[in-house]
Amino acid sequence: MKKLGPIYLIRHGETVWNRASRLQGHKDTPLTMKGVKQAQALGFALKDVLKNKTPSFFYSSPIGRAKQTAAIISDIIDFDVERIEYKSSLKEITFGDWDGLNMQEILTQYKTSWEKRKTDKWNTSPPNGESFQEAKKRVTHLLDEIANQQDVVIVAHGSLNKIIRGCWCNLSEAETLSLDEPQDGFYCLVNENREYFVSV
Amino acid sequence: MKNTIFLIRHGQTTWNRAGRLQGQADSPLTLLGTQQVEAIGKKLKELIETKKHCFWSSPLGRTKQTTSIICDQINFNYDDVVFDERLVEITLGDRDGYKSWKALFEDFPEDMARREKDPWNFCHPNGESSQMVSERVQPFMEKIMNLEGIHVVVTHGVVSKIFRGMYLNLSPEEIFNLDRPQDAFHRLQNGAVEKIEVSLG
Repeated sequence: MKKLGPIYLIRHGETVWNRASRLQGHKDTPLTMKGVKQAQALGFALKDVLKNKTPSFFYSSPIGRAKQTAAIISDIIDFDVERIEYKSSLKEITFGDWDGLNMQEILTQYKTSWEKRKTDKWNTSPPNGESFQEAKKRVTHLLDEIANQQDVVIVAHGSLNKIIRGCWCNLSEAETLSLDEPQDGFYCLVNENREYFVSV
Repeated sequence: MKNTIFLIRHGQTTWNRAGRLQGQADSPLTLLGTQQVEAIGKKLKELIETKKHCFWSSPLGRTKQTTSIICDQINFNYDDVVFDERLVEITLGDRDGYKSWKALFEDFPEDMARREKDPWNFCHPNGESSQMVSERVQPFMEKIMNLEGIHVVVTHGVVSKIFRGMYLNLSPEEIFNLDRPQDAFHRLQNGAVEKIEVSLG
């Protein structure tokens, strides 16, 4: 499949639970002050990269922290917030019963399932949660749709953005899992399966 | 009882800007909204110094966003905020999220004529009247009025007006005439309400 790009792939800014090292998944907490500043800085960096172009499409996860980030960014790049399309396929991976927990709580309450998932993180889902494989399946359709679109903005989540980058750059599962999830910059996905990082 | 309440409305949201009616539906803060809240937090920090205080918030998205920013400005732990359902905005029921006031008048002239006759007791289909809101806000207000010290309360336009109205024993008509700024907040102290303006840096 031919991929055009550029796609500007952005993670939401820091939230209350990011700061507290809690998994969020489909649960949500608001951006911290630092997160709001990150979202503003991401907006200005995107504005620079776009020069005077207007994105053809702006997709966002419908989860609060992503909507909050998308609203700030759209204001900065002068994109009509009403034109943002919220896609449920862009929601974060849900960690099921682990959503909202920190590492210590998971290890206390779910040690067995945690250890089991570690052996094959790609295919194993947390209790009542989603595996990377399942999340990839739900986001693939959107990726096919946007492969031929240019100047697309996506605001989504840490794990989900890794999956999108992995698909775009044809990475292996292990490579995809080892990608980073920055909040102080975003990735530009460009043709020939390449990406580059724009830091703020 | 020595008691100070800082009553804060959430910052501008995308629907505020578009003139849409939110009620208990929700939309995120705009860039301006985040700047308003940051400025309010900064000003509030000057006013409360390091004294111990309580923090109460409506649990809707836009007030949670506002509360999180203010917490960081005044060094208050977000986990210690009490989210109280009685602080949510008045609901317009079936009309939450409606595109504008003007559209309500055009599309539902009978309802709006009923509202004209008795605005305090009027409610949209499946919605709340101002009277109903005052009945849920009153016990909350009584509760915190009986707690000494400083209280930060993050809530919504209509709830803020009714809250101040009850504090000052205003008539329904006077309450409707109160403002609901997003670049200012109110200090309720010694039976008086003071508007504290902020400037956006």
